[in-house]
Amino acid sequence: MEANQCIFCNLATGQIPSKKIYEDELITAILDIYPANPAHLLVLPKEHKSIFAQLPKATAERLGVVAKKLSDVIFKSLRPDGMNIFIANGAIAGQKAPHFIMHIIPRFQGDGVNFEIAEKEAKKEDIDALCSRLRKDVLNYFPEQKFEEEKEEKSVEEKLEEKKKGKNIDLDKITEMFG
Amino acid sequence: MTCFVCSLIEKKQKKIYEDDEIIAFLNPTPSVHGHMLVAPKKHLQIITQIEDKTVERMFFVSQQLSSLLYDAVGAEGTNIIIQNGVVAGQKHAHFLMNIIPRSKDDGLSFEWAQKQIPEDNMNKIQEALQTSEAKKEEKKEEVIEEKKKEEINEKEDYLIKQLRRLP
Repeated sequence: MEANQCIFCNLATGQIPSKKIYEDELITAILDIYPANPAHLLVLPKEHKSIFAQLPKATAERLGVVAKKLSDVIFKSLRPDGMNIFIANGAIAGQKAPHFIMHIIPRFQGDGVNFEIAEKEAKKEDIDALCSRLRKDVLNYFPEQKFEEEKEEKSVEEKLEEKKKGKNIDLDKITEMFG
Repeated sequence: MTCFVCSLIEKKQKKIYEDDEIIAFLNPTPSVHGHMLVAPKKHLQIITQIEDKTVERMFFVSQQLSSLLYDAVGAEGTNIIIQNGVVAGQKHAHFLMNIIPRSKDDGLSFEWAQKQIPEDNMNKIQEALQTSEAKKEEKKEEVIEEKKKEEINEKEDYLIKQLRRLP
């Protein structure tokens, strides 16, 4: 989509009127007119980008500070019970518009909104393999990163082996005592 | 009681990024394969307690790490989720950013029903929340609008004067 046809570009730059809450040189925040809850905010970069990964560093960083600042403003004036900050990258993740949006959603007891994240047991070998892969990948972005060998949890066999050795030492000591 | 997240940070278990302020690691109980967590090293609960420079760092690192997931686990999308408070789904009393790779039929869904809010209430909410920055920007826009109007008026005056000169 051309940037000038994008509704959210026009909202971010004020070409289309909106209920603006915050604005700086990189970002505009407005009230969502189709909110999950009252005071649901849409935080829009002024530059037309579709997903988080495409945003310049300065904008990604500013989103963090703006999320903090606006959460604080909402907490103080509306006294919600909680706050979700939500980004969807890609239609599969729930993204509805071709312009990057960060949602700030105040939460109230029993509001019917759900951002629970399920926890599942993972196979140790899957996590280990992915971890070593990502540690290599991350060096492309952050070459200064250093990874030491992790202290692995000892297996039951190893623990038993140690116990045995320990016993042996003890026994030796005991026998030494008798001279 | 020790904090679960603090203990993970201390062990540096499945760490994939670390600096003075923050750490990122693979979630030991992931919602899907590739679920990462980014945390401040200091034991703080919600976003408003974290220093600006730490929040900036967390967002930048989350951005970079999320882009790794497309290749590493074949993600077709990603979600970044922050839960502030138990009502918002927060499980540990330590601030976290969740980076979740998404793919077709992964069983996850973060959607919400839209609420109807009367225009009056929307205006009240805007008034209550509007930051000084936004107010300043609006004033600037008003000044520009007024200038434009003045310019148009001047132009009209000029045209009228021209007309009057005509015989």
